[in-house]
Amino acid sequence: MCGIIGIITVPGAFNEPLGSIIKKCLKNLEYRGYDSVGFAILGDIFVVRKSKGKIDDVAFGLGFDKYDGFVGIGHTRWATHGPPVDKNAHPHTDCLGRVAVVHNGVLENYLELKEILRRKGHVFKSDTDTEVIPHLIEEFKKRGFQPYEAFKKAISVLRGAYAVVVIDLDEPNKLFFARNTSPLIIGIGENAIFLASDIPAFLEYTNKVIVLEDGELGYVTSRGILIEKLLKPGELDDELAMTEIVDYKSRIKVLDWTPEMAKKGGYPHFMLKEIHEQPGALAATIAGLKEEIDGIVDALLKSDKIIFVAAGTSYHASLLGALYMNNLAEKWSMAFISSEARWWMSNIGEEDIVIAVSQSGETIDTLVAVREAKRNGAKVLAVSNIIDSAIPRESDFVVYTKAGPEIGVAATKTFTTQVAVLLYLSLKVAERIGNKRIIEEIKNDLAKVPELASSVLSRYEARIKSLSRILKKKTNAFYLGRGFGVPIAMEGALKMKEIAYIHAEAYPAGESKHGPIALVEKDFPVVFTSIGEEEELLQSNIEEMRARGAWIITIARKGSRLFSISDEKFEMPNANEYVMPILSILPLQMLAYYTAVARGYDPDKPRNLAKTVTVI
Amino acid sequence: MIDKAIVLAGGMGKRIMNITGGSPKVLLKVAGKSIIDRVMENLINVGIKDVSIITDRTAVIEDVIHHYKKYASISVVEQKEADLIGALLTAAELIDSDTLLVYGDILIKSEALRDILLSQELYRKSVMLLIPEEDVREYGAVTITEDNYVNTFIEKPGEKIEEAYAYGGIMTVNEEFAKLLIETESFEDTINNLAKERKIRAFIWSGWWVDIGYPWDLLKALHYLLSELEATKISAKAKIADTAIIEGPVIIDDEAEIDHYAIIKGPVYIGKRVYVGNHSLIRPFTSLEKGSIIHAYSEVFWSSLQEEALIGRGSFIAFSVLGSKAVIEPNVLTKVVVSEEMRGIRPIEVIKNHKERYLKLGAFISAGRRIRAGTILEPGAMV
Repeated sequence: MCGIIGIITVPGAFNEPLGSIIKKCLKNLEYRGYDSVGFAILGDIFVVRKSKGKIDDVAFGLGFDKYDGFVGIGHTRWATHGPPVDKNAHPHTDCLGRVAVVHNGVLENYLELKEILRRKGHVFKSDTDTEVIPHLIEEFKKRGFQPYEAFKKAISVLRGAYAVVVIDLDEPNKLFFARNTSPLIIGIGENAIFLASDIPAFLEYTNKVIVLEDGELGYVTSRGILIEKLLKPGELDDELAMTEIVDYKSRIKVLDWTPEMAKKGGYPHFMLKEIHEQPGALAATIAGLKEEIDGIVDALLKSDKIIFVAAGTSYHASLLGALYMNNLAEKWSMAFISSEARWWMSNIGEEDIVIAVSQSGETIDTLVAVREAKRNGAKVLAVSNIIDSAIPRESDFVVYTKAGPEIGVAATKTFTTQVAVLLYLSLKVAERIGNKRIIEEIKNDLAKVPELASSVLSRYEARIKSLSRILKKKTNAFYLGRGFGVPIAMEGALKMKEIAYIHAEAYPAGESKHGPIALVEKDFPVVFTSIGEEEELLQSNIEEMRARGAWIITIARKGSRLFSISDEKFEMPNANEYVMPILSILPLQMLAYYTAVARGYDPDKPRNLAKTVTVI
Repeated sequence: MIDKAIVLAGGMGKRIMNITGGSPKVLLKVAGKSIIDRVMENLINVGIKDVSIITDRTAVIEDVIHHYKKYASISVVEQKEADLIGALLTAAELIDSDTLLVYGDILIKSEALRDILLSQELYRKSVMLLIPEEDVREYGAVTITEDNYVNTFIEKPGEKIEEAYAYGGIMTVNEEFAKLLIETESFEDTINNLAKERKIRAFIWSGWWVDIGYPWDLLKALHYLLSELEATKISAKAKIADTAIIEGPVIIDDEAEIDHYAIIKGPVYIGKRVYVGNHSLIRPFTSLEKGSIIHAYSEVFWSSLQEEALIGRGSFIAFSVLGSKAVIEPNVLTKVVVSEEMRGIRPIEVIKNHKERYLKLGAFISAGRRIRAGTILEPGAMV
C-alpha cells in the first residue's frame, strides 16, 4: 500500500535537512510495498519532486538531502489508479502549484469529480484519483473559502478510502490531514509533529502517538494539533463543511516500542530477525493473556457457533483456532477466508461469535466481513497485533498478540502468537466445561513453548541453510499433513510461495490419491508435517510418494517412525499435539527464508505484495 | 559509527602452506584480487578510516597495502607471538575505543560488515558475527540466548554441537575486551566473561561466508565471488581469437590471450597476460590468475591457478588449486569423485539433477612444484 509522511517543525530542530528526514521516514515505510516516491518541501522555496523507482535508486536524482524547510510531505506509491510512472507519483498539485497532496487509499467518486472540475477549467496532469483533491481545494478557495475551510469542504465531498496530508502555500504554517478507512497516525515530537501511515515511520523521533479515527480531519502546526470530526458528507455547493472539535487529549499514547525494535537489530533481513524473535514474542503474548479475559470466555461459552474470518497467514492460524475450538471447547467452529465470508453469513445470528484475526487490524476484506457479521447481530472478537486499529475498534471484544512490530511482509511471529492466543482461549473455555487433566498438560506445554521454540530455531538453522541450496533449484513442491498438520502445511507453502517464488501447494495428505499425486515424479520435493497421532496414516502417504521417487522432507516429533522413510528429517521436541503446530512451523519459515536468500531474492520485499492489504 | 579496525593478517596458514609456498596466506589470489585486498576494500567501503594490520611479516604486507593509504590511515604492526593469541594480545594494546576486529582470512560481503556496525550503533554493545554452519568444529562454537545475546563460546569444540553457531571471525570490541584479554590471556575466557554479563550481541549472517583455512576453501570462495559476476568485461588490450567462444559472465584482463577454438564458459576470471591455448575448455568457477598458462586441448573446471601456474597440453584439471609457478606437464588427469569420506578433507558438494549430491575434490599442487607428464592425481591429493 501507499505510505505517507508529513512533518512540520521549527527551523533548526534537526541536525540535517528536512528532506533527509523525510527520506528516512519513507525508508521505514518501504515494507508496505511501493513503486514510486515523491516529496514536497516548503522552506525558502517550495519544491515538489517525484519519480518512479525505489528510494535508494532515485534519492540522488530527487535530491532529498538538498532541501531543507519547515513543512514537508513524502509518499511511497503503490499503483492503483494509473500505471507506475513519474506523473502518477505523489505529491499531486493544483493548477497553480500552491497545494500539494499525498494520499493513501482509493476514491470512489473521483471520475465524476474530475469531470466537473475539468469543465470548470482545471487541468489534470495524471491518471490518479488523488489529483482531484488539490483541484477541489483550489476550486473552493476560488469560491472564497478560507484555505482550511476549503480543505475541509474538499474532504467532505470525497467518497471512499483516504488518508490525506496537504501543504497549502496560503496557510504555510499548517499541515492539513484527514482520514477515512486508510490508516493515519500523528506522532508528537519535541520540536516537530509527524503524520504517517504507520508508526515505524517516525519511531526514531518520537513514541508519543495519536491514532486517528475514521472521519477525522484537522491540522497540525509546529506546536499544536486540531482534530475535528466530519459530521456529514458534503456536496459541491457553497455551504461550509459541518464538523465538531474532538478532544484528543486522552487519546495520546506513549508506546514502549523502541526504535531498534522496529529496525533490523543486526539481522540481514527483518524476516530472519522476526523468526528469531518468536520465543520472546510468544513469551510476551502468553504472559499478556493472563490479564482479564473472563468476559470473552463467557461470551464464547454462551455462543452457539464460532466463526473465524481472516486472510492469508491469519487464515491459517484461524484454521487451527477452529480445530481447537471444536476439539477442546467442544463448540461448532469453522474458519473462512474473509473475502469469501460474505457468502457464509446468512445463517449467522445474535447467538454466534465471529473471531476476526488480522495482524494489522486493517485488512479490508476482514473488516468488511466483520461489518457484515455485526449487521446480522453477531458478537465480534478481534485478534490483532496493532493497538487501536480498525478491526479492534469495531469489535465487541479484542485480544492483542504482543509480537511487536512486524515489518517483514511475510508474517512469522504474528502467526505463532496468533495460534498461541487461540489455543489459550480454547483452553479457557475447555476449563469451564471440565476435562481438567488434558488441559493441565496442554497448559504446561504452552508455558514451555518459548523455550522449546528457541531450541528448535538454533538447532536447525544451519541444516536448513544447506537444504535451501538444493531446494532453490526446484520449481514446485507439495506440503502435506493431516489434522493440525494441514494448516501448518498451508502456512509453510504460503511462505515458500510468497518470498522464494517457488510454486508450493498444500493439501491434506489423504487427498493425494484423488489427483495431485499425478504430478509427482523423481526428486519432486514433498514436505510432510506430522503433529502426533496421525503418524500411522501419514506413513502410507509417505510410502506412496517415495514409490514415485519424491524427495521427502519430514518434520515430526522425536523418535517418529516416519524418519526411517524420509530423506531429510527435522525432529521436534516432545510436546502436546495442540502445542506442536507452533513449533512445527518454525523450520518451514526458515526453509522459505533461506531458499529466498539462496535464490537471490529479498525476503522482506516480495514482488507484488503489500504488508497490509487495504484495497479490496 | 565505528571507524577503526584491526585486521589479524598473521599466521603461517599451516593447513594451506603447500599452496602459499610459505608466503602469507592473505596474499593468495581469488578471482584477480588477493584476500587482503578484498578485506581492505570491504573495510573502506563501510567507512573505516583507521586500520591497523597485525602480522608477523610486516614488510611483505606493507608492500601490498600501500595503495589503500589514500583512503584510510593504515599502520602495519608486528605481532608478539606467531599464534592467534599473540596477535590478539598485540591487538589488545591498540584498542582504546570501539573497534572492529577482523580476521584477515575471512571473505564476506561488505553488507555484513555494515550491518555489524549498525547493530553496534543500535545496541551499544559488542557485536559478534555468527554463521549457521552445520559443522562448527573448525571455527569455534557459540551458543546464544533467546533474545540474541552470546551465551557461551568454545574456541576449539571437540565435537559437533547442533545448537551452536560458528564464530565468523569478525566482531566489535572495546577497552573492556582488551583489558580482559590482557588479564586472562585467553580469547575464550574473555568472550565467556563478557557473555556472562550480556555484553555481546549475536549477529547472525545468512549470506555467504568463507574462512580460508584449507586449500579447498579457495574453491568455495571462487564459487561465491564468481557467482556474483553479472556482466562480461573484456579488456580492450586482450587478444581473443575470432573462433574462440565466450559464454558470459567472464572477466578477461589486459593482454590475456584466448587462442583459436578455445571455449570459456562463465563465470570465469582470466587475469593479465594469461594464455589459453587452442581447443581448451575453461568451465565455470575457474580463476586463472596473472600470467598463468593453459596449453592446447586442456580442460579446467572449478579450479584456481595462482600466478604463473602452467597446465600442459591435453590435461584435465578440476576442483584443484595450483600454487604459484606450479607446472603440470602434458596429459595429467585429476580424479575428482570422492567415494567415501576421507580423513580431514571436506570435499565440494556438487548437486546434480537437483537432488543427487556428489562429493568432489581434485588435487592441490604446491607452489613451484612440477607434476610429471601422464600422472594421474587421486582425489584430495596434496603434492
